[in-house]
Amino acid sequence: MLVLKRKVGESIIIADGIEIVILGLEGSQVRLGVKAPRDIPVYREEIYRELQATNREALTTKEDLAKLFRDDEF
Amino acid sequence: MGQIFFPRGLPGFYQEKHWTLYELAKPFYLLEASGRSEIALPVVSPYVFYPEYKVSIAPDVLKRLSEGRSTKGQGADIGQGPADSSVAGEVLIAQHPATDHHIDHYTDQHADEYTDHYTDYHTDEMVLDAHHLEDHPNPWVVLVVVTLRKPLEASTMNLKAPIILNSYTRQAEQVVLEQSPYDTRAPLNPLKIQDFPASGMDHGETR
Repeated sequence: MLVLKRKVGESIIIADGIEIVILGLEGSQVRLGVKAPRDIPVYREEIYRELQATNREALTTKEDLAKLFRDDEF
Repeated sequence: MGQIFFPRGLPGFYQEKHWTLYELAKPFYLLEASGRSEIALPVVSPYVFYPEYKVSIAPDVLKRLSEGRSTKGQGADIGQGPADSSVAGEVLIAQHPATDHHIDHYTDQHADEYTDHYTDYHTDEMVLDAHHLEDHPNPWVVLVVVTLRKPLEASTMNLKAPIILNSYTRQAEQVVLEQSPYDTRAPLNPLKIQDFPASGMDHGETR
């Protein structure tokens, strides 16, 4: 992992278009500003993991569904 | 059927930007990654099961989904079944795109800023609920991802992260309602399920 020290108001640049700014400190919390191209999604890590997990759980195929929908139980 | 562009992909499927929406047994639809039939997600209008469901959409999301890629006049064909109170009826609106795509619910004042204004980014959000979505013309369609299980009562839907679709521009995004009380695994309401006996897939798209 790359480790950097930054002061409040300073920022880092990732690739060509992503800028992460240290906006300030509030106790043990750090406020970040993220400037990214519109097609780059930004998530809080735990939320991303949860969404990824639920989307993958839902994953299916037409063939699976055809089977499921043919079943009398359904 | 309906091609939908997700500029940001979907969480877990970042690479997949182009998806196709197919009819499934009512009230369900299938969102399939274009050209990747092994990647497909069942989706449903949340209002079928949760009539009180409400979504607050941030202005930056509204703006992103409203700009560019106009398919005016191209004719949307997502809902080919009879118009009803579920998704098909709403999506059919896309067949009659308004000539003016201007959405006046958002303002541009916070765009491209990351100063203190950033925290106020949600002040001009738009609230979508079942009532609002009945307004015509209205480009917005709300869908949620369903994890289908057997029996159907064991299925869940992700109310916390709905898919917001602009049926005029055909752009969509899965948003996160961070401040909402909604669950990522909300149960399908069994009472409602009885209204939708399995109608088979034969009226869906065959390719």
